[in-house]
Amino acid sequence: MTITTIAALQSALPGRLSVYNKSSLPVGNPNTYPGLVSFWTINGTSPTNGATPPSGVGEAPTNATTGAIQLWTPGSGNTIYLARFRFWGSTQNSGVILFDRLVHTSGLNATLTTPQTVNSVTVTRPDGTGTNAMAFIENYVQIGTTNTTMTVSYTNQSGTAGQVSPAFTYGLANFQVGHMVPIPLAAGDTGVRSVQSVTLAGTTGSAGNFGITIARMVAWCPIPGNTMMGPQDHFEIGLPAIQTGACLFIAGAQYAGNNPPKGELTFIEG
Amino acid sequence: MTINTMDQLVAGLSAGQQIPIVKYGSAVSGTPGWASYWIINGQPGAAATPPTGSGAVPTNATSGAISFVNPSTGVAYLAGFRGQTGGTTCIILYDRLVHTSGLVGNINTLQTINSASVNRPDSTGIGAELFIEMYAASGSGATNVTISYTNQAGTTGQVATNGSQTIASLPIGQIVPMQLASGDTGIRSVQSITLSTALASAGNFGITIARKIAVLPSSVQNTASSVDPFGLGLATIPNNACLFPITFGGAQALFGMIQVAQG
Repeated sequence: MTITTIAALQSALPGRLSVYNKSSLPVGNPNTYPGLVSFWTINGTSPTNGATPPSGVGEAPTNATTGAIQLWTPGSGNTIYLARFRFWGSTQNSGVILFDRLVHTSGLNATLTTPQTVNSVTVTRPDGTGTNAMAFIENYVQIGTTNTTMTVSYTNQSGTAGQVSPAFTYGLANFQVGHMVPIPLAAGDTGVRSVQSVTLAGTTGSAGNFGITIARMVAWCPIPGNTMMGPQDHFEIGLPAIQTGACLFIAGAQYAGNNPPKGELTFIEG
Repeated sequence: MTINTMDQLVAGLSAGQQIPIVKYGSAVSGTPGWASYWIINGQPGAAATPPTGSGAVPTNATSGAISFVNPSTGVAYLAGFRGQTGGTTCIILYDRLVHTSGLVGNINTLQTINSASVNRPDSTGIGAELFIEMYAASGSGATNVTISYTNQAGTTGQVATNGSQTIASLPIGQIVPMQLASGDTGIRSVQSITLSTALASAGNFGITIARKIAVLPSSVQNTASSVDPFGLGLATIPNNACLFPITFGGAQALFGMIQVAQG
């Protein structure tokens, strides 16, 4: 069954409230807007912090992976939907984005200028195509502060391997733990299925530890000002269906401040 | 089928497409501050410079278009538009109907275009807007622009101008709306363009005909905005639409998404 009527929506509400409660702070804003800051490894009680992903090919995290926002198994034939999304904590106007984390890796070195093989696992949700999936660089240990550029070889949404991203900036003092940089795609591409390698044009001066994250945007919650709550109802967030097994996590866009991230998500089933 | 009831809206939302839009910034700033993201890196990947001469009618299969998929049946609607930029601006979603390139800035004689004609959602051009768009920076100097076009009623020889907007030293990615002749409400095709003054170097620009689908306010720098299906007026998206973003107020990097519902 799916939710296809107002009556079904009303029946599914109020749904289940999932409290989002982190106890530590994300680091400051990435300077390279549209960069994001991931809350994946930030300590918290709901959800607890995710671990640094496996190195090499990484893994396809699921709802059972530590760090994922907890969901439940819907009844047979049913689908889970996000019905409300509220968030606060940033001490400046910003926004937070809910993603389904499809693939993640780590263990890459920000001093090497030779191609670093990744050969990541392939996305599996909602299928293996990677259509509209986004690829990011995600930092797990602070890298160096020398400015350089990076290119990434990946397989696109059509299954074409060897696609190469345009070069994009990597380095600078503001690439800290948790920072995520969206990887620009080659001309004509609209999604990423897997990543084969990354190549830095120069060393950043310190190895750090970074990886690839492939994720799909699910919902967005604006934060209109200092510690203000941004509420989003089912129409504003578009009642997105949550894929079975989704590894939901949140990243901030220009999120900053002295308050650990707090929020709540309401999921419904139908 | 179309969306005519709240039930159909709920069904369309719950099965909707969530499509990301991520673009790095460009050199566009100042006045006129309209910035096209057509050839800017991001997701979707950057588009190519359009064909010269009569140009082309781009579609959702054209490299650089937002990955909108035609509905299997019925009608597609824009049901959500969310995002933020590093500036105080607005993000405007357009359907790119016709585009050309190969025009140069260093001559002040007539340059023939005879562009392809619009074909979405029909061939009238009602509500379509006319722009010039930069693919290589123009040289220094200022000029006025006159463009001969066919209007929404099929009348040829109509003349558009840049109005009071300054056309000078335009960077790559700059897109400038043109002012149609009095009484006109749309444009079907473009025949020629003439600059009043030759600029210092050729550059490369073209004309773009596009139809506005929706606007997302980005009223406060770095603050996310969200518009729901009611705020968007449940705008219809024609099959094969070549969706791309424009901002007003300079080409700040942007991060956003659209949601498409099928009726």
